[in-house]
Order: sequence, then C-alpha cells, then structure tokens
Amino acid sequence: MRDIKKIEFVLLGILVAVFIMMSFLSKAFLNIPTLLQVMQESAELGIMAIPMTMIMITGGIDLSITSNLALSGIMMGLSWKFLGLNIWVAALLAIILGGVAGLFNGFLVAKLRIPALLSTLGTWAAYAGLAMGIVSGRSITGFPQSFLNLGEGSFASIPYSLLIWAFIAIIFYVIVAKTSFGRYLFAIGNNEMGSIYSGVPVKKVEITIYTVAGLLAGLAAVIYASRTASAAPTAYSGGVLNVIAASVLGGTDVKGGSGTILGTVLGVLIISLISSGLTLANIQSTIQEVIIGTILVSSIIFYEYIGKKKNVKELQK
Amino acid sequence: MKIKFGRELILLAVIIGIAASAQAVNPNFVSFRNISSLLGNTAVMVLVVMGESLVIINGFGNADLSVSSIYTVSAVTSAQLALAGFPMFLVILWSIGIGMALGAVNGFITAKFNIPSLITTLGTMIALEGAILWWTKGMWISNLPNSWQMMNHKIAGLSLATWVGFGVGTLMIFVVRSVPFFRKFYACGTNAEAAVFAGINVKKTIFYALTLSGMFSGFSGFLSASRFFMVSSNIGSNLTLPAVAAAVIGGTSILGGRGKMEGNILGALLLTEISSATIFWGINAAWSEAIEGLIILIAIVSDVLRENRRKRGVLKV
Repeated sequence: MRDIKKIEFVLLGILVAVFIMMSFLSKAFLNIPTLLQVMQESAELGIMAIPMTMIMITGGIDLSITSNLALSGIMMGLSWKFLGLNIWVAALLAIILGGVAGLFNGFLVAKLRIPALLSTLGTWAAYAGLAMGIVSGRSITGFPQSFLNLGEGSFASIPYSLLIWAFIAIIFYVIVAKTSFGRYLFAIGNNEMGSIYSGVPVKKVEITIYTVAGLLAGLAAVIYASRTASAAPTAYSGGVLNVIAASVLGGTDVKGGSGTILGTVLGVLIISLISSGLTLANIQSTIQEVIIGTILVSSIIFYEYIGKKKNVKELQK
Repeated sequence: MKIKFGRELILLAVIIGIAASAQAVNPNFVSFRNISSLLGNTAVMVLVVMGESLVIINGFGNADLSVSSIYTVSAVTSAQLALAGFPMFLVILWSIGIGMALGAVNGFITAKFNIPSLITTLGTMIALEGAILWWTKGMWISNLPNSWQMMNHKIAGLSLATWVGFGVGTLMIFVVRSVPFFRKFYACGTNAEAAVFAGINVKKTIFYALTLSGMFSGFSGFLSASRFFMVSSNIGSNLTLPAVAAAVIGGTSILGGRGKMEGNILGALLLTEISSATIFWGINAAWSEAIEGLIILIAIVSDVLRENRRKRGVLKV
C-alpha cells in the first residue's frame, strides 16, 4: 500500500510548479480561456484515465481502451452516415458498442482467467485492426454542426468536454472512495484469493469495471469525433500510453492495490498542462512524446521508492 | 518423438496449406521470386522474434514492446554512419552495440526497480519513437553508399540477409537448447521462487534477456535496412505486435517457461506468409491489420486456456 495522501500533496505541488514554469515559457499560457481551449484536448484522456485507474487498482490493465475508442468512433460514423440514424442516436450506439467491447475484455479476464495484460493486448490489436478494416483506412467526416458543438462549444468559457470530464470524475471519486464497490477494488488488488474467500464478488466486479471502461471509451470516442470533426480508424492511436501514464503519475500502483481518482485527475492535469504549455511554446510534439515516456518510467521509479521507505519504517516500528 | 514435434508439424502443415490455397488463386505464389522475397522478410523478423521470445520465456508480465523502436533507432543511425563514410564492419558493430545498450537500459530499469518489463518497454518504446522522429525530423536517409546494400548480395539466389537471419536462427536453436545460461530463462519463467532457491539470480536473467532482445532487434534493424537504398524513420513501426504474435504462435507460452527457437522461426514464417497470401487472395490491404489482430488474440487466448487446463489439477481458481 502506498501513502496516497502524501502522493496527492506532492502532485499538487508539482501541478503548481508546472504552472509557474509554463507561464514563464509562454506568455499565452496565463490567458485562461486560451489555456482551457488547449486543455480541452485532454478531456478524452481524463475520461479514459478514470476507468483505467479503477482497473489498475484491481491489479489489471486495459491496453485496448484507445483501440476501443477508435472502433466505437468508426461505428458511430458508419451508423450515422450509412444507416441514416440521428447523430445523437448514433452517439448512444457508439457508447453501447464500446461497452460491449469492454464486456468482452471483462469476459476474457474474469471468466476465462486470462491475465488482463495479455487479453487486452490481444483485443488492442484486434479492435484497432477491425476499425481499420471496416472503413478501409478512410475516415468519416461531415458531421452536422449541432454535433460539432459538443466538442467546440463551451459554457461560461469552460468547454463542454471538460465539464463532462469533471462530472464523471466526481461520480467515480465517490464510487471509489465511499462505496463498498470501491473497497472491493482495493481488496481484489491487494489479495485476489483472499477476496474470493471472504465473499467479494470478484468476477462481477471485474466484469463491471471492464464494461465501464468500454462505455467511457465510447463516450470519449464521441467527444473525440466531435472535437476533431472526423471519425478515423487511427483516432487516438498510441494514446494508451498517455492514459496509463496519467494514472501511474497520479499514484496508481501498476501492481494493484493503490490509487485514487483525485490523484489521477491531478496526473491528467499535469500531463495536459505540460503538453499544452509545450504546444503554446511551439515545441515539437515528438519531444512531448519523449517527455511523457520519461514521466511514466520515472514516476514508477519514484513511487517505488516512496512505497519502499514506508515499508521499512513500518518494519522498524 | 511424435508429441515433441507436434506443434511444429501442425505449423508446417498450416504453412503448406496456406501456400496451396494462395497458389490455387494465383499461380505466382509458389514462384522462386515470391518465395525468396518471403524468406528474406522472414529472416529479418526471425531475429526480432527470437529476442522477444527470450524475454517472454522469463515469465508472466515480461515482453519487450520496444523491439520496434530499437530496430528503427539502429537502422537509422547505422545508415547515417554509413553515409558518413564509416567502414561497413564498424557500422554492423554499431548496430549490434546500440541495440545492446538500449536493451540494457530496459533491463536495468526492469531489474533495478522491479517493474514488469512490459510497462518499462512501453515507456521506452514511445520515448525512443519520439526521439528518432526528432533526430531525423521524419526525413528519409538516402544517397547511401553502394557498400550499404551488402545484404542484398545474392548467394545461391537468396539474399545475404536471408542466409544470415536463418543462419543465426539455426545456431540459436542449438545454443538455447544446450547452453546453461539460456536454461536459466526457462527456470525463471516456470517458477521464479524455485529458481531463486536453485541459486539463479532472477533479476540478472531478465536483465540479460532484455539486453539480448535489444541486441537482436538492433542487428535485425541493420539487416533489414541494408536491403534497400533508402531508410525511412518509421521502418520498424508495426513490428512489435507481429513479433509477439509470431513468438506465441510458435509455441512460446505467454505465461513464461516454454518456447522453442524452431517454433519461433516457423511462427515468423507463418505470419509473413499470411501477410503475403492476403494480397494473393485479393483481400483489401486494410483488413490485414484486423486479420493479424485476430490471430494475435486467438493465439493468446488459446495459449492461456491450454496452460490453465494443464494447471487445473494443481491450482483450482
């Protein structure tokens, strides 16, 4: 177990430090509406990082979450363009299909007992390939303006997508921190066998969180499509690392048993502040990739030390 | 003996079956030209797959996702060295050395901080990909000297790259079987705790496995790139999943402890054959990723189910 309160304080400190550093790097950074516009890009990241945290608390991982986003986006575009459905019905369909894809992950992990790392590695490849094949690599465009407003519009200069993210984050914060379902997640992550023997419905919990991950990936797909005005098979490809990095930076243990939604939200904010600051300062996106890869590895190393120190202290007592 | 070679025989039968069906559609499939290009593509992949397999054999949670990035880094930097006029033997040494060094970095982080190598290499994969794009600015390296294309030199109708790839592959079959150093990998993968009691340093073995995997990817990057006049900065992209898939299809257990080099060679051959056969069958190239993804998913699921069935008598979950 990690000292999660301490990690949250450290993260808050880092967030402030990043903010100050970035405002020196670029003048545009302190213009809050501009900043919010740029940060809008991280709404999908934030939405997907929440279920990823829950899954990682149980000791699992969902590598397929961004492929799921691409696939649900494509399905939404297809059902709107070729089945002639209303765009909002199509969006709902995309969320449900994302949930079905997530349910399949849950089935593989909980029922067939295939380690999450492996089963979602497989579905990652399969979903991405399906998305690519269904539309022959082309992207779907031409969505109506009312739909594009979701990704472009804002309420009191806060973009809708950020509001949706905040809403979901609050709901899941309560679920993880205050409900018995949330306690089950930690129980499974710390000792799966023990949880089974003490009557925790392990399979049900696991299937639920993978399905939730799918549903939220579908929602992220809708927001992504409306923000970029297209549904592409390559949407968010390679972004799964950012989702994992945000959770890990937020103090979630890759080995399971520790993590909070608040930490993850802070992690997402730090990553998105860094990348939007670098964008505003005209620094290439390739460098940003290097930075995010480095953040991922170094934060794992950093937390590994915090965890170790605490264990040593406990032993000394 | 019959049981011992069961999987390899099935693989051979599938390979021949696919060739026959592609031949039925288009009689050019089993032409010398196509076969030699197929073998050439397989040869460069074989080395990567064997390195990958050595990592996977080390146990659950181990896989090297950075093979594609190391491959690209080695191909691009060796091409630049050749362009700068360095003699070819130095360029070859460099490609092996840089691969080994990057693999050692993976190994160091994994062993020192006790992180699953899958997560470490996910981080280094993205960081290296960004780094190489920044280094080359996405440009291709062209105007390479004639000596660069040494691997295209034909011996008995097959390129030197084919001979080298399959030569090293065949050598590895015997080396891995008989050298104690490699048997440690299997010991760690089968039962890490027992391996510790048997006096094996588990951390050292995963370090060596990742270093070897980096070395093979680095050399393979040179081998592959030196067949062409130009080297692109994304030469190795989309190599990681096929490498994992080929290893798993070839009988490497994704849970660790099992895997044969001859199986890996056949797995690599099967995957390259399928990607060539889809063209002959007239399937849209956009579906090739989906086919590959489904093969990966099926390979992983069937592998884990078989392992679970084997263990059921001992460990009931």
